[in-house]
Amino acid sequence: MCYYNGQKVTRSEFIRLKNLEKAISQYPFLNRDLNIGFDYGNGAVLKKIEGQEEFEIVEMEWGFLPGYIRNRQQAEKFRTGYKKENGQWQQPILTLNAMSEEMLLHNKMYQDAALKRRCLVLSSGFYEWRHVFPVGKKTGKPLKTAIKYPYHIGVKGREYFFMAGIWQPWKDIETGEYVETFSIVTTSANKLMEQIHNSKKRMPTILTEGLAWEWLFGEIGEQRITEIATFQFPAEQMEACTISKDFRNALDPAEAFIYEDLPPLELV
Amino acid sequence: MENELFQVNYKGQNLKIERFDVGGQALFRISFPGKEPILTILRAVNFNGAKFWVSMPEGRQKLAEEIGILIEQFYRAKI
Repeated sequence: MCYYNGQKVTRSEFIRLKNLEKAISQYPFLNRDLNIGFDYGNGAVLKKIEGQEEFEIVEMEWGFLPGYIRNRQQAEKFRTGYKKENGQWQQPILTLNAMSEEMLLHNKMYQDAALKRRCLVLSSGFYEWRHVFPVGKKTGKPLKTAIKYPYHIGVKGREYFFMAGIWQPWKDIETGEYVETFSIVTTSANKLMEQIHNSKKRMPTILTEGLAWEWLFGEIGEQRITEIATFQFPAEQMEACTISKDFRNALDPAEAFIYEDLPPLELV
Repeated sequence: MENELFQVNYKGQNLKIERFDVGGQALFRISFPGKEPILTILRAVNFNGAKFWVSMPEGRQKLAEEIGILIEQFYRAKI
């Protein structure tokens, strides 16, 4: 005898429901290869169910919005910048990523979320740009403007993997709109990512299954939070390939694309 | 074909519902206006052969049953 949601079902019905569960885990919002951060789109996030060692997969808005942002208009200004009354330009505050080394500092908007609202961001792969400075024909020296090559990066043999995230509930006080927003935690780049994301040398904090469990459910203090948040996933377990520069418009954004003039990555 | 979209009123709130089909099974994805996270429900068959509503993934059975009834009413009203 089997139970699904506490209801007595036959073994075959149980198997059918479990298979269906697996199928819908890829539908509809999981079935997106590409999530460009600056679109502030939604992402699939594993969120702990309070009081249980259980999680649910929910959609959250990528781009952490702190509680002091009161409405969508302010959120737009916060994310894209604006001209202040004195004429000065207020730079945008980018919250797609939270730096693991700093997020627990007392003056950081992420502190409370890192302590109380950790989540896992499901990813099937992510995109980064490698900057290559070509050598000038006349000077023989590297030019100042880099050529940028996009890469799709994933974990070997894994259709999905987990990135550490933190989330924040947010409400537009004028319309009552409620959303949950999140930020992906980042750490210093490993040997592979140092070569690809060579302008910033950062990478998302990809977690092993054990660390993912601890990040989501563990009763952990600041020191352990920082240890997990700064975890550097082994380069040898990752894979990367170049993709079309027009990948945002491609049917399959992760499809490999070869650049003849691009020096290969060093093996890790 | 686009997924069917409709609304039902649940305890004074208008819930947005999207129907989609996976492997010949109709699933209903429910968005709430407030804090409640998105819920996916469907009809399953219990041990006695009777149909009942379940949440997928498991864990929100009561809500699945209450909103499931409203979805049934919506479809009956269409006939």
